[in-house]
Amino acid sequence: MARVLFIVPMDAERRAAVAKKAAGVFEPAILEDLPPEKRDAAWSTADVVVSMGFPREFPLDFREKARKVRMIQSLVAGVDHFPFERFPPSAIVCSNAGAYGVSVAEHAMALLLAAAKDVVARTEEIRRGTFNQTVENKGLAGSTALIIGLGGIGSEIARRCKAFDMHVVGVARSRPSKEIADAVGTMEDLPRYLPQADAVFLALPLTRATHGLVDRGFLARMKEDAILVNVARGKADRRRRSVRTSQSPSEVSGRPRHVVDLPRHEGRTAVPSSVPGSSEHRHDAACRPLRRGPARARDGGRIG
Amino acid sequence: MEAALDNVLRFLRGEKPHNLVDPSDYAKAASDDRNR
Repeated sequence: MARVLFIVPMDAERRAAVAKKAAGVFEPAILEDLPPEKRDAAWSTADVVVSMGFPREFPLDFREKARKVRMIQSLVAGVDHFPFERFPPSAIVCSNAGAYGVSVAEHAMALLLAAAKDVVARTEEIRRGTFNQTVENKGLAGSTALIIGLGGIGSEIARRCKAFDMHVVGVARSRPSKEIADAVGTMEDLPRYLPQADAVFLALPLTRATHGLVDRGFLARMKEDAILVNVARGKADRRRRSVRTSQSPSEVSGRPRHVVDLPRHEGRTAVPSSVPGSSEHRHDAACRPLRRGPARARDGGRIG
Repeated sequence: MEAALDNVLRFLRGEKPHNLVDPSDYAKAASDDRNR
């Protein structure tokens, strides 16, 4: 029987899922349950390794230790952090793309609405005793959403944007199905689509091709009042390097958790890279510093 | 976890698993999560 080695923290929910799926099909081994003297044997007999992909999970000599391993399965969608160089060349690697589509898409919509309706600033005003009934906000119905990356997450964002009566344009590495968007294209179409978009979603994996996608040129093509929602990795977004906005955008868990309005691009709202609440990911609220600090950023201050 | 396990089962049955990764797509694109 095949042996599947779990090298991730295993809570009761995960253990129950493994017990249910393993019965009669594979023999599970949970690394954290094993004493140190039995771990080498667990590595050497594993056919499949289930991991979050963090380098600290894999011994430097993983390739020698895990000679039988044929598959490395990720529990997370993004795999850019995997230490591929340690893996046996014959082992396949699978991401968990799609598993978080709904929860990330819901979070993306929360960020869009918060930015479009200026929820944080208005709430702070009300807390200060100011209730301005004449303030305008950005409407979504009839506006255009550009979704960059139409995989599991991007597709779920598209469905939700359609429910808000938005015109949905999707771009992906290969031309995606038009069923989930009003218009579709490839990355080569971005320069044409960006100036039309009222909301831009980044929902693409961090790869060699997408690294640094959002740079000064990208922003310059956006409408002055467009909203940028980033639910991708931070390094798809080069604003911190290409535009001097802030000396040190704070990072939580290694991800930029906020970005700021750019002095050269006033009016555009950029909202943070985010992690959805789900049983797999429990993180703090991502949008806390949403609109707090253009002025502080211009002064080189830290936001959030 | 459920979706990941379903993919493992698919592989163990001899079927092509979903979400196959091409490591060459990720060369030099590592996120800050590499340091976690």
